[in-house]
Amino acid sequence: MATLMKDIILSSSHPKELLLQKHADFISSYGVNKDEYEYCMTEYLRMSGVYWGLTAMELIGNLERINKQEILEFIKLCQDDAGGIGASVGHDPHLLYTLSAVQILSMYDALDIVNVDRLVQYVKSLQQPDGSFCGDKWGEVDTRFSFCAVACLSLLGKLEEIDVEKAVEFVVSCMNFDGGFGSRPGSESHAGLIYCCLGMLSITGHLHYVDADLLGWWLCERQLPSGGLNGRPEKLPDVCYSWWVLASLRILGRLHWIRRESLVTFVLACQDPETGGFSDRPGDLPDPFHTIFGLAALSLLGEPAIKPVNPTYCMPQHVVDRLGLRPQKLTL
Amino acid sequence: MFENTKKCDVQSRQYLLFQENTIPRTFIFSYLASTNLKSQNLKQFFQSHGAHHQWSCKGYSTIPYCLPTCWLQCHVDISDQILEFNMHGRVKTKTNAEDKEAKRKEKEKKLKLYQTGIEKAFTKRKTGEYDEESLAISAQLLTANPDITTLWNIRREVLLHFKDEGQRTEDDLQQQMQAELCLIEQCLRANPKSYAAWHHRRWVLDNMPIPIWKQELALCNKYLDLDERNLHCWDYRRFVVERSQVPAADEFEYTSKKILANFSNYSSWHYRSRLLPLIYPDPMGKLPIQERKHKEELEIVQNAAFTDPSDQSAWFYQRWLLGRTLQALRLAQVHVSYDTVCVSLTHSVSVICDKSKIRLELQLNGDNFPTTWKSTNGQQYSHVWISALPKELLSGDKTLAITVSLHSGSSLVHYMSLNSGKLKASTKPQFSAGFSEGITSVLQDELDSCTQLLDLEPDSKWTLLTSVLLMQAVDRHKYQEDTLARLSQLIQVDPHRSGYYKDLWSRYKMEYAFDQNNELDQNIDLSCLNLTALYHCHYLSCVHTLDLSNNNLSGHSLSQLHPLQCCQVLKLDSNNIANLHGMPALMSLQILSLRSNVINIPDEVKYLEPCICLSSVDLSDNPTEKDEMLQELVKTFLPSVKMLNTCPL
Repeated sequence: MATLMKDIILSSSHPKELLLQKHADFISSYGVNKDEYEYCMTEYLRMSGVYWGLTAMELIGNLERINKQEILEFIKLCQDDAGGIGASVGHDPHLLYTLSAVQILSMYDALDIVNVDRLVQYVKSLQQPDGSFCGDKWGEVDTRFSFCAVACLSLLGKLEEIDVEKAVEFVVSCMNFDGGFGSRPGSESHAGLIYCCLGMLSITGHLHYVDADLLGWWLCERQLPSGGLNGRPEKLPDVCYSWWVLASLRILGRLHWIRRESLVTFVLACQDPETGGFSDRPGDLPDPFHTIFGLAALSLLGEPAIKPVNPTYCMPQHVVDRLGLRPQKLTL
Repeated sequence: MFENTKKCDVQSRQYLLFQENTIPRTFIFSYLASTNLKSQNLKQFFQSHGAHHQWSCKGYSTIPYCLPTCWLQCHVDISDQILEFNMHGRVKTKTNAEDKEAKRKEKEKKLKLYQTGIEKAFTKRKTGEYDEESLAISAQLLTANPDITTLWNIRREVLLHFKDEGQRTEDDLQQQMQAELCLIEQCLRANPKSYAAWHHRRWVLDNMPIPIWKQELALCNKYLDLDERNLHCWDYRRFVVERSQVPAADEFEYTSKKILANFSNYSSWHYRSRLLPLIYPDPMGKLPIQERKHKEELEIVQNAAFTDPSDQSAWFYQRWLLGRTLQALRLAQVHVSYDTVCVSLTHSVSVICDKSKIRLELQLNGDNFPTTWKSTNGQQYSHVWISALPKELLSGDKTLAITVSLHSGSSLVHYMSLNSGKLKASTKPQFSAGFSEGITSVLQDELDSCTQLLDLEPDSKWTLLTSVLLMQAVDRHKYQEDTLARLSQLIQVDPHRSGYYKDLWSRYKMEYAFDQNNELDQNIDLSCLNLTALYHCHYLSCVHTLDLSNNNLSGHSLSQLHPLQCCQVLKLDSNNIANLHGMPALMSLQILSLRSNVINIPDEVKYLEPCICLSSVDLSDNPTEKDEMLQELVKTFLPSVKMLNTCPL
């Protein structure tokens, strides 16, 4: 029984140059028409959508095209009495969107427009006795939320408000035979969750728990002949994994374990030459999610036209520097 | 490729259909709402699709729970067209103006449905109307997009309200929760990877009067037959297994079945790795699992790997089984100079954090000497720790007995004593796998099989890499040359990962070099080894002179040198070093040679400032050598340096 290698074949018709201006146009046109179907259907994740768009614009030096005041007003409206922030007005607070909001406010240096004390209390209230974090009051536990919690609190300079050792203990209990991490103890390794767990350990300075060679090898095996990266063995490549895998390798000091040029070719091929924006794979429809991760990946790969991005926070490096944060990175 | 995915999706829908014949009312309502069917047309609609059960058209509450599958069949076809939205794998297609307009209208309609629905749902919640209608509206919206978390929250509030209100019987509530489970199944058809839908299922099971775990396990079996890699379903399965206390051995049996059906099933191999240590723990605690089972697993996975050498899953699992045995935490090296004690450990630990419970203690002539430890990498966790000693302690003729002890909690783990003027102690690093004879003979067989396979397919990457790992596990000294030869070959046949293989080469090269030096002190020569990375540097904490010249090291590697607290002479000539910002504070370093590197900015010398004893820095044959600023910068930042760009040795 021969396995079919799951990959795509790049054709010569796909873009080979970076279409920066088109991406800026793509992001800034997104949401101009608030009654557009695609826009409305993503209301439930709006706050993250805004974070993706803003980070993309800042990385390509076009942030001024975004209406800052409108966004700050929006965030204010999304904070609920308990302190947490929801995806959109009327939607319930959740750690995912609380982090996105804090990332946006950090970029704008405007943290004071929300009630930070309550926000911190909200994050703190979601830590469980085993150290894990729930996403909201309805009890879903996931290592994604461990990352959200520590990323959020570290951006606010309030990491000491939670039991960091316990939080680390939980994340480490999610480590697998392949050196990777899943969403809960026993869950299979997945590049997105590996990124969250490494990010969490990087922020709290506990990367020594990781078998960096074993995990680094698993991560570099995500690169397929097309140059693209998948998120798990025997899966298709996808631009968003260019970020999850690449940022993880960067945190581990092993970015050179994949072939840079082939990944650049793949990511560039995922651009939409008509509308701008990146899609998951060449020829698919673009969206802001894949656009930020495509751009951030190119930044990590050294593309000079894009500002440096911080691998732990997926935020512009100069913002992380301004906040005086130095998330841990390994070297070889 | 995409077509295949789509096809599989369609098949999965059909498969699901034939498993179902009970449908609760909210579920039906959501279907009807999504297809815009008016209730007066219901009877006609049902009958035209072969539903001949008794029912009334006054309201949906009397709709029969049992419907024939052909009805569902037709409904799924319709539900395909409802407003599904997912950001992955949406293929961009060219459409003509007419199609575009039709599409636009279609979207407009869907949008209207969504906007009216969500507004109604939110308003009802605000006004405290926790009722059937609220459930119906959210069901309609969620079948189209199960990721709208807030709608699930509203449903939970309604369901809890029903429970607390006390007007419903246990049976009613059970029925209601069963209905919820059906709705979730419907939602999972729109998106089988919806975090929110899977979480809601957990919540329902934890909140229904009588959870039917068997039914849930069957659902997992069904879903995993459709997609054996669905992470969410595997996680849900583990939840069911935990709550209903399914024996680990049964689950292990299940993974065996899945693997036999398809070796290329990473999820099953993964689950196995979690179950094995539970069922067959190693009584000695050194191996992941007990020896008999370890051998069995090695044989199974070898069989799988050789059946299809291009499939990754089995190779990853095999690598886990080939992993080195767990090493105990020990002191590796202790070194005392006239004002510092430097301790290197086998693991990276924190000796300053109360919660880690690891402590280092220092005794002088039998008395405890309270001291403060500092990591050499500037982090909270480190392999190497230093502490200052009063200078007068080691001056004069007095001989000191120094003992460094490592404690974990209240127990002594390991100690090293320096008596009668000795200033250092060390244990030999242990790089061999440490497998028993029994396991080693199985591995030897596997290695022989790999070699045979390589005769047939000399460029098989997975076979090459596994044979390298096997050689290291069986007898690393005997296979030194072969190990390195196969790594060189891997660099050629798998260029995407050449960086990895080069670093692995560096690791093995350093391990071999460390083995050759009986005492890792005085002079260590690691030059001309083609090193691209530095490993195990904590075994260099007692070295006086280290030569790393003629390798391929970059500036990134410099930070690895932090354990070199006793090193006086460091040679890094002829590497690829472009920057020095990773340079750690090396307190004893006097002579640093960086000849023939690629440093082109004189400012880089600033990063040598923490090395306070530096007397000679050699930057000849670097682009920055002739820079006028260099002298000036050295004078400012490195006042102790007497010799620049000349070799004192």
